[in-house]
Amino acid sequence: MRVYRPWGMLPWVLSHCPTMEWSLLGCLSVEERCLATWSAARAVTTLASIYLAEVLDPPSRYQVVTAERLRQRREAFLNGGGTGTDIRRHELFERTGAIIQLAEAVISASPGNIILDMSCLPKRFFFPVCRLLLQNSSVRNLIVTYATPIRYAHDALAEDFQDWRALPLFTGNTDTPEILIVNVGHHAMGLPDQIEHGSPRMDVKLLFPFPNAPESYQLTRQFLRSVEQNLRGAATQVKHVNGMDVSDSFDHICSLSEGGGKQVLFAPYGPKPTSLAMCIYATLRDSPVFYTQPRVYNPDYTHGVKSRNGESQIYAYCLRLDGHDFYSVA
Amino acid sequence: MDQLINPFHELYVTETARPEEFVQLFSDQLLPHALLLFQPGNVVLKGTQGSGKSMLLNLLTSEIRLAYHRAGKAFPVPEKLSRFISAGINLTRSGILDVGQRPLTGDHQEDERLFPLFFADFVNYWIVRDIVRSLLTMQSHADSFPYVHLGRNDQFAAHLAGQECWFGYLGHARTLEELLISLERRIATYRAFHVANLKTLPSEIVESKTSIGEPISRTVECLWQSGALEPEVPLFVRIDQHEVLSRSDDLRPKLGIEYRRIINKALSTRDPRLSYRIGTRRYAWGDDLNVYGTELSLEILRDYRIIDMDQLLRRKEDPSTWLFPKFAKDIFRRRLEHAGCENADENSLRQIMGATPKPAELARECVGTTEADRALKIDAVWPEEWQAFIRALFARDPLSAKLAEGWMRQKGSEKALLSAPPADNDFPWDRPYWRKERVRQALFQLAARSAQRPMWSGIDSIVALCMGGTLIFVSVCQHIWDAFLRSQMGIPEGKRHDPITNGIPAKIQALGIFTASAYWYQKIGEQPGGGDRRRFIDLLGRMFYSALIDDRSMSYPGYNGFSLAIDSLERDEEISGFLGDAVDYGDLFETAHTTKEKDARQRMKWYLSPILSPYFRLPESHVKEPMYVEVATVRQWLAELGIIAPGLTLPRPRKSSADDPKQLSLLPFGDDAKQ
Repeated sequence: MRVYRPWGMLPWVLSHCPTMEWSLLGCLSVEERCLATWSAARAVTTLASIYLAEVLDPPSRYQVVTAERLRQRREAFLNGGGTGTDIRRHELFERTGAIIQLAEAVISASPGNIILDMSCLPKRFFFPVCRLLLQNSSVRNLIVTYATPIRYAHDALAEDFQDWRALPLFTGNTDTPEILIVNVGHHAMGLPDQIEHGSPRMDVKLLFPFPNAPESYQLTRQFLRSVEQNLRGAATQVKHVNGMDVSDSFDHICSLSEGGGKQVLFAPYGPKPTSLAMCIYATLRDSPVFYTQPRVYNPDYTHGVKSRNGESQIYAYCLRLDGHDFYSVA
Repeated sequence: MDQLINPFHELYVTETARPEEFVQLFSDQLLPHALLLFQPGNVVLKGTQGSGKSMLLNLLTSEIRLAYHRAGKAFPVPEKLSRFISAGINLTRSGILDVGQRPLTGDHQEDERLFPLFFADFVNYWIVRDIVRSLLTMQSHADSFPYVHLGRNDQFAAHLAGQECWFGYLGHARTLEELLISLERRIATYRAFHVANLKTLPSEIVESKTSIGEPISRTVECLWQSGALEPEVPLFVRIDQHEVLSRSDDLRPKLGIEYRRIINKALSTRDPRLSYRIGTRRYAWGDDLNVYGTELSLEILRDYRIIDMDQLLRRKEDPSTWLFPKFAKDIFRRRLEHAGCENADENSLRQIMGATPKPAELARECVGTTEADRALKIDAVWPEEWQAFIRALFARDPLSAKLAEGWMRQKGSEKALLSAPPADNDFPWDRPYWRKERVRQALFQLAARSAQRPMWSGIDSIVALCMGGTLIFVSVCQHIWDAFLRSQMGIPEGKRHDPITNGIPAKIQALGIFTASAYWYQKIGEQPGGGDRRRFIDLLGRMFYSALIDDRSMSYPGYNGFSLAIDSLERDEEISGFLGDAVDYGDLFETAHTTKEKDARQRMKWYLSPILSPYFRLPESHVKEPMYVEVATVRQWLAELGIIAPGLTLPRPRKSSADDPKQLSLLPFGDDAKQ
């Protein structure tokens, strides 16, 4: 039987939750959408505490532009009523210990109700933080949000990729995964090379976002081709998933892993909501999640925030409400 | 063989293949040159990605040896060297890089002191666990491993557990099963701590840290003493992907150095019972050889020896000693056999790809119907007799005409040479060295003037473009075969061209080679630090192309590379690190060379990796003198590309603080002294 897992636009989701105070954990970034959840949430609910992680990339040729964009976002936040102490600086390659402290600080300052805005949080932060929130029983209500941009940059979104490495807290409990599940995105970022070179042989399942905007469709097809080019000898399977539907992605993952019976290695390169489904599954099953972390992000990564009926299009996914977890592996 | 199958579909098959496939596909051609791996003594196996390091290290595993036995094939190592036991750790996949990610004591300095010790402890437990697993695998197939014995396991386990090196952690283990559980519990506890399931490391671990290598030595000793393993059977410990300790952003530079020194300490013990096998990229080894906690450094030959895969496969002065062509033929044959081709043999590569066309043929192919006055640049001031001569020569031999044009531009001012065109068998531009050094440049200029892409095809071109790169070779073959399969689409089965008997046409090979080149160009940007390097390679590619094509007199045919004085380069760690990385990742190729200048300073020259030549339309061969540039020039190139700037640090290999370049900057020397 299909499990009902509440999700929808943020104001709608919050309007269906009991009145309560929430804490917000998000990211102050170069992208305009980084403040969308903050703006939308404070309009309909009370935010007991706010933690905006300003994640600084290592120096690059973009650093001047990046610094200016960050200054603009900070100014927008402050002018919109935010306070400077809500913004905390972190390095992109922060130690896992510091990320754990970040999550603990958010939990301890919260009334147990947390909105995690993953829109702009790098996976290096978003994955471990989400895991820690899910694993902490004092978090009674957990909603993850994702603000959709109007469009992505036409140029490369990121560059200078690191080697294929586990995301913090996601080394996993197995050396010998049987299935690799790839969330197909815009840019393979060295993945095809790494998965074949750096991992034992396994079946490859590709979660292909569909439906998709035409410009994204082209890029995701290219991604698919580049992976398949290196993996034609391995058993590959393409699954079309709605890139915004965490619940559907999670069910696909459960199905591909035969209900958790097979050891899975995840490669999250596509839409964040599908990555969220991977994160939830990997947390529940202690699966490894590997990634080729970029050192440099394009300061024009995205443009604007998509709107719907005059409101920012922000998806909200309920992971836990009143202590009840909506996601589990049978 | 199914005509629709590409035998080269999987690029990395020899590294990640199932053991049975490994046996079929592994080429043993290099083994006689890598037997150090199977002899006592520490060995560092270094090479660029795809050079075959992991493949060779795989030979040490018991699973691969078993696969040879199951396939009824002899293990390709001399019998006297095939009595060993092996265990290993992959530094990327084991999770060992998590050590140091969480604070331990609340005291930052104390934590920094402790992290390397826990790193060492993790290595010890991981390796000993792997030794036990290997032992069990070998015992379950005792007919393949006559030097391991059943029935002594519990004796071995109890003996090992009682060793002082464990500080009591394994004291309770009486059976091998209990020992294995304890070893796994320790590793699982580390994991639990690193994924934040434990607030602190349990005191039983904190108080029983082991010293690097010691438990491993004791394990071998106990195996021998208990009789589970025959005495004197050596242990080979594999440490793969060592480069992560010097390149990872996850690891703070100081900690990465300390971890490397821990590994160095393991090597420094020169324990006759075990030997280490370190798999690493080229530049990740050698810039810090200090031994943890001491003032000592590792010494090559005394503490370790090196197998350099790139050097092994690279062309030497004497081509007859070049191993790669034979190796490539063997790989090619094995791939065909694996794909079901029954009559593949050592000649298959030559039969299918054919000989590389002669330059004169290529030139004719290239110019096609292009007229002489378009393909050449015949100067109006040249005597009409000469102009007519070159046009006539072009009609029957475009390449010779092109060389004549260059020769004219070089020698044109000498009156004697303008007297009359030479006789057919006495062309001065056909003198061996003059021609040899310029023939490729002439071809590329002809192609450019004729708006054609230069063509590469045939066995010699393929081998030259791969320059010893195993992975590149397989990739080139893959793309050629793909291009061939595309050319056969829609042709009924009985009418298809059979590549095994009839070969693959040169034009199709050229197409495949170009797509392979573009693929390798794209790949640059997908490697760590690749964005910067690709922009740099772009700049070099464009610059070299202009230099070669615009040089109409063909005075500088070697300008598809650049040269720097070594002493200047050594003083600029940033530039040398960047170039080192580019070589390490296989984007550039470097070699020492003799200077043409009077100062007699030692120089090094760099060329684009030959596989990039088709993409940039550059000759892959290296002739005459490269561009002589100064370090400051390279710095300027990088600055213009935004790769270096004030306050911007390159993510380069971490070197020990001992060689701080700033300490020498008061003494201008070499290129910098000229500024």
